Amino acid sequence: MAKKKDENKQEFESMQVVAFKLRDEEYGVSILNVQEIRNLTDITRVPFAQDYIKGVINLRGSVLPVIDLKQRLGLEDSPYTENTRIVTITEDDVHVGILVDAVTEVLNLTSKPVDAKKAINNKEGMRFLSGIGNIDGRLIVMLNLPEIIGLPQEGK
Amino acid sequence: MENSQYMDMFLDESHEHLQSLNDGLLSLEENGEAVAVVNEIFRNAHTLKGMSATMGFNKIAELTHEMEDVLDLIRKEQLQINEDIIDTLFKCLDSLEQMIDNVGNGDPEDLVDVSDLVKKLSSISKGEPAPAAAAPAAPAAGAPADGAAAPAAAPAAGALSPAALQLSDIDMDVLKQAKEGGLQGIHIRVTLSETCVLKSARSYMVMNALDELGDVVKSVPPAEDLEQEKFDRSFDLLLVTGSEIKAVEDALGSISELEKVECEIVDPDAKIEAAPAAAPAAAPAAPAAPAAKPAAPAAAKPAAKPAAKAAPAQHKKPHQSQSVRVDIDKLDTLMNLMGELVINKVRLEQIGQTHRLAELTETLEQMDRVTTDLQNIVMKVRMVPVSAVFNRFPRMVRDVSKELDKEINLTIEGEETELDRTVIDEIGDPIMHLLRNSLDHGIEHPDDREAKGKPRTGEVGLIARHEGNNVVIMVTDDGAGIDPDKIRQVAIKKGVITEEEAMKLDDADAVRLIFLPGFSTAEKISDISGRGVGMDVVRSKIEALSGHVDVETHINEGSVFKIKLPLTLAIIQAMLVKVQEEMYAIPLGSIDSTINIQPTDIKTVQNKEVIVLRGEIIPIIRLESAFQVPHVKDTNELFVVVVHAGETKAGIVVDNLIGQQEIVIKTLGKLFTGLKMFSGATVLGDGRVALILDVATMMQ
Repeated sequence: MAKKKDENKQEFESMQVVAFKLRDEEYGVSILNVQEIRNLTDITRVPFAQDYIKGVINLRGSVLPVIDLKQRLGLEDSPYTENTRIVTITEDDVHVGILVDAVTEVLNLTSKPVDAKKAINNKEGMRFLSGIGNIDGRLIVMLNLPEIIGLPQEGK
Repeated sequence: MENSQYMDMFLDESHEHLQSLNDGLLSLEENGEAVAVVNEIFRNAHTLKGMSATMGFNKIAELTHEMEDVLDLIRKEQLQINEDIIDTLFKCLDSLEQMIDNVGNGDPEDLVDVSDLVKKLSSISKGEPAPAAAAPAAPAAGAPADGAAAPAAAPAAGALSPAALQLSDIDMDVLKQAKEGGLQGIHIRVTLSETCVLKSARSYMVMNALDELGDVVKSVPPAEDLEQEKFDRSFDLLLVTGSEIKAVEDALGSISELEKVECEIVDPDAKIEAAPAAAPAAAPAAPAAPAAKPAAPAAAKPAAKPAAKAAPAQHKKPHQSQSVRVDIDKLDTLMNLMGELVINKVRLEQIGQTHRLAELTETLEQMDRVTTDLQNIVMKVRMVPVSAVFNRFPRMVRDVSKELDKEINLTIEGEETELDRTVIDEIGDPIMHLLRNSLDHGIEHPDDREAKGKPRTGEVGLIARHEGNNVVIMVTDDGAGIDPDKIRQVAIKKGVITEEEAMKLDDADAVRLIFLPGFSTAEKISDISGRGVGMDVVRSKIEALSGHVDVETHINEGSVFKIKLPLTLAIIQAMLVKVQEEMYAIPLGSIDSTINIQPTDIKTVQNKEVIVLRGEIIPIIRLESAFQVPHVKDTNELFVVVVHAGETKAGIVVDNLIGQQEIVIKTLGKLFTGLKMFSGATVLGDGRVALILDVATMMQ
């Protein structure tokens, strides 16, 4: 019936991506996962939590965990700037904030992202990435949110 | 009537139960018998029975009890469902609805004649063929009309007719007991002067004056009606007192606007004969007049005051609900919006300060007051003290202990403990089940107690308190306790577990078998509890609230049922402490004391740091190192918050005490499931988040 190529195209024609910066690289998540983008506020450190959890913030009266994305992806740390943002995202009913260096823009991804496994030869960092989008030579690394949030498995 | 404040709750809840009964029966009719549906119906009926019995509506309880018998047989598959049974059950529901509506309108429940239905149900449960077309529950219509006719038939108007007090058997018992105790019952008829304006206030003064002399055990019309001025000019009271009539007359003599006070000693022994004779005449509409409810049948009232309005029933306002039910989600939203408002207000304040805008600051101060009030109200809307539930129980315990012929003393503690509304709504039934269980199976008969060398009066306790990050509600009794071997045997007999499994269980686990579905050790089915639905309902309800129920028991010493509910929604008092630049909250309930020490006051015992406080050696935990708090500055003064969990104590060393504050506990969420050290987090006034220590976990 329909050609496979068309299907793929259709799927990605309307995919909007919130793009943000970690150091010099550009990353993105589907806009459907993004709730809002907030300025940096006081983050309360949570002792004994996993390293990549920066702490918790107050999001309109409820408590929201914040993930330090650079730490999670094994990138080198850099100080906060006035561009630092907390992107609050929802995945599978879990709300978290992710700490990014800057939010750049909302992009329209028209072609299917390349499978990250093929593109990068780095097994450790792999599981956090779902693919790489290419917009006129500009590379956007798409994040694998369930892995990044890292919901505790049994026993953990 | 003393139960008036629970009337709304009763009406709301019973309508809900009726609705689910209706739904359940419909699905039963359509789909044939499904065990789950039958169980659901059965539980609804069971709860409705319990509730109405607690409220003293015996007719409703009686009918539901019969329904329950039939449903029980269906549940056990000893009875095949047929159209006739379903029809009968539906008719029961209709009658129940009518009775509950009557009760809601302030009418007596027994305007509806259910005797035919009751007969039919019992014949069904006995397995007899259904009697030919038993008359459906026809409401004994025209009760007000009968009431209006009653004055003509009523006995002499002037004399204090014993019927005017509508004494029930229970009242008689009270009188008899009083007589044995050297007290006497005095029937007082108070007539207010015609010019009296504030009738309710006068009646209140009368009540007050009498309370000083003794106990007003009965009032016709009921106290609720007196408060709402739903009476003409006179009312009848029964006072149990050690004083003489003269003293009563003197006490009332000082109240103005009373036209007449008539007193007469009521002799319970003589009245036994008189009451049944007089009552039917007074209340032709109520077939069971001697046992007439304290709810004061409208029909009987005119007999007490023949000159009164012909049909007082018509003047009664329908029972109006004072509360509005709000979806709890809306309250959540409201609370979150509130939080946002507060944060933005704080921001505005900061702007006002940095730019020195006096006008803005002034306006914000006004706004601050409003938002603070608003915040308090929003918080409070959700929180209800457990007394809202607990208050129903003393009456129930009294009635039940009479019924069982046991002597029981109920002690309630911690009724000011606040719980979230959602929890309060759900917690009533489980506690009622547990209490009934303790009364019925726990506490022994006085004679048996004496034989065991215990006081005749059994002690039942209902205790609520904060414990760590939980609210704990305990039902305790000093009764017979639960015999684990007996439980094992019954469980094997009922096929709940195999003999092999039973032997492996230790005693504590064996006792926990009572929480399994379909388990009851009571030899006989009683009206109070013991069909084996109680405990598994309790457990499933509590677990639905993400709580936990456990039992601890010692043979012949008694049992303790402990319900633990998470505090996630609760507001607690906490002490805010500062460690370097970080803030933490310690629940006040775990705190013994706070002291200020010098670093040199800390000693070491076997490499563990301790302090000596009033001769007691207390191990200490330095939060700064325990939590690896970034070190910013040195302090030469330390504060120790002495906390306790159970019997053990520990000192938590912090840099500074910020103060005591009411905090709302928020869960940390799924990402922190493994983190037991904190029971949650709270948002402080300035919008920052502080973690709440779980003291019990910290001390391990």
